[in-house]
Amino acid sequence: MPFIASRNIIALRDLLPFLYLFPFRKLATILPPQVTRLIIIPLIYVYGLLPINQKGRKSISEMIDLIFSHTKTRKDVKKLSRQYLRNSIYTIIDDIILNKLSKKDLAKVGVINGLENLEKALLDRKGVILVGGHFSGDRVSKLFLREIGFPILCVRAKSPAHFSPSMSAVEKKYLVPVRIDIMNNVLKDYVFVEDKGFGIEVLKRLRKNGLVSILMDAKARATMQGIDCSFLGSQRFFATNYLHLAHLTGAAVIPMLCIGNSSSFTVTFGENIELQHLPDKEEFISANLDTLVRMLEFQVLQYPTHWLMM
Amino acid sequence: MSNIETIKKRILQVIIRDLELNVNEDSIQVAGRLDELFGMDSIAIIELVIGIEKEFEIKIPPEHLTIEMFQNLGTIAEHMHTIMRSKENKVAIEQDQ
Repeated sequence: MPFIASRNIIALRDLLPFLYLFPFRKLATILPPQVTRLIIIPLIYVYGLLPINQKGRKSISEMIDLIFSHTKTRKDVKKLSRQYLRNSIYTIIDDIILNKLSKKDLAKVGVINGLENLEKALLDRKGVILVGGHFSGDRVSKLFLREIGFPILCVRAKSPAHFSPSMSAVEKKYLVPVRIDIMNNVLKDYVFVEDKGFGIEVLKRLRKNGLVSILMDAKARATMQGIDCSFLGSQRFFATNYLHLAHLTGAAVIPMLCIGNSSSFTVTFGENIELQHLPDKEEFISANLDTLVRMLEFQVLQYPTHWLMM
Repeated sequence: MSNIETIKKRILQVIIRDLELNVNEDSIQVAGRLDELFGMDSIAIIELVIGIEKEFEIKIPPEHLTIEMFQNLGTIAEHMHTIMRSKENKVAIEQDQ
């Protein structure tokens, strides 16, 4: 992980995340999920509107502007930014209440589209690699799918690839790791890409005709194999290890899009992506990565306010 | 039955042929951990699994598929020896019946 020195030991904006990660989280273990939402949502809304977050709000608006090639009006950009903020707040709250929701609770508010695409791919018995991005409904959807008999092995990074230089030392050392622990606790079934046994665990899961989820837009580390691709108007480095996996195992590759939150969410499985089967590994990867990146770009353009990587 | 040394030689050929590592046989023979010495990443280990399975015409059972199996040439050979012995025993039992 690259070391970036923090400008401050602690910052004023660490206060609310601290309250959320420690006292509120403890409180959430005893309160019903609906009550937790009622208490936390207004507080996090207030946090988003504080002057100290002005820079963050500005960068969200700039990103939305870039995604839509500056075709949206100022009013629309502002509206989309607010929606984005609401969705990301909900995702954060969800992490401390998801484990309290039953299968029945989730079934009432969840919708699955294209399950037949997944079931068809599973008939080949070579496993399925689910590809998508960091969208708002990712964790609630995976939890629901696990509950209804589709457990997914999630490929994750142990820690963020890049810490922002604006983060305080306290945020880096204490708040971010706790936040990651909370997320991992929701997913439960995961493997770290940094672990030596990562490839073997994924191979075992695919051989059991299981499901493996890859979030393509995760910030790839410089040490990973990958390719620079044009994405939403700029160049971005995409890791390609999952394409190597598909090449070696013959597993199906299916797009998965999860939007929403624990109050209402939708999972959509796309049709099996027909990969070009070229004998040379490198040719196989460069020929197919672009198809997947265009698929992700399409998902972001459809649901920009649900894409959490602004 | 194949002995461990014969198995080692065949695995060595798979490592050199399929992984395209820029190393010679001797350095692999004396190597400690394969991953640390040759920068074998997760994907290379999968390539090795598939290469070994092709070479020995056998599917490595999931209980053997662990990172410990791929520590060095010796550990891979020991696991393959056990797997092949168990396969041969199974065939012998089936023939008796």
